Amino acid sequence: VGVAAQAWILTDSAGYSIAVAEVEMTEYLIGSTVMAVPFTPDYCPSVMPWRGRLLPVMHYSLLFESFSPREQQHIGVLAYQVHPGEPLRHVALALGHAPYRIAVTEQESEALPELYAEPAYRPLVRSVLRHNGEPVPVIDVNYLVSIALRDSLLEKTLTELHAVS
Amino acid sequence: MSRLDFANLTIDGQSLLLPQSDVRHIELIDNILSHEQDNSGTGLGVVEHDHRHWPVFSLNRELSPLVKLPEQRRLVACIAADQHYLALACDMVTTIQFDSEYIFDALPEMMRIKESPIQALLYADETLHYISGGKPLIDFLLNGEA
Repeated sequence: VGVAAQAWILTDSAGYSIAVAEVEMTEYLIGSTVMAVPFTPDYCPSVMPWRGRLLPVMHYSLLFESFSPREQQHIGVLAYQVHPGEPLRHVALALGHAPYRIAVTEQESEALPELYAEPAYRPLVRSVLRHNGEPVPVIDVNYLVSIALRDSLLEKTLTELHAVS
Repeated sequence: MSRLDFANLTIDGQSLLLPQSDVRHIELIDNILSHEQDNSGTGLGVVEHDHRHWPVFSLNRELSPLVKLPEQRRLVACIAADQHYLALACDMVTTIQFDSEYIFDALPEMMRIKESPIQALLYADETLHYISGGKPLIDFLLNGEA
């Protein structure tokens, strides 16, 4: 089995692990200034200054749960590109500890974890690798920061609220 | 380098920036008339300016509307846009200029929800300022969405 690529494993303080491609992990920061912004989605409630601009700060677990730890001592800055040839854009992800890099082989392909079975989440997963015996989704950062995900989750929340009432 | 001019409304220590031209007048909080004196029902009272009654609203630092005026509110900013007008209670109102070198970012699309009156963010002097405009702020306070 040959080594095909490197990936970064990112784990948040609620224990959710994801992987991103090596080139997408731009910087790891500790103790950044993170500032709340009201009237924002639960999973993206704040911003931080970074290299002369403000980055959205996301809490991955809050995509799935309403009440997760909001630890933001560790931050991973991810790069993404909306269209080929456009300048890179960046987003910050709150982590539980420092990210680390692993080698990924071509044969490491797993079934989609049940957590991602809902239509709102499925496009998040580009592929699945196995790490330390657990399936870890390789995330599509473009979808993670998309309006489509935001709107899907807002709609899901409204549907759940209507179901309760 | 261009300079950007704002009215800086301080609310519980949070800075809310509006275009200077949208803030028409500043009134003392003591000049708020109660609805018994005014016969209208919108807002927490009204202030008189330019032959109009401007309904007074109050927000907390997360920009959520309050049903009572906190003690630290000292001033009322009369805000107008597109024929609509209201007054917002503030702790302090100043004018402020920023050089364009400061971080001045539109609120990222992924963070926008339609109810939000915040249109952009400005980070200067280690402070995060919320930027709105007369119209989105009035829409937010009168209709519940910006």
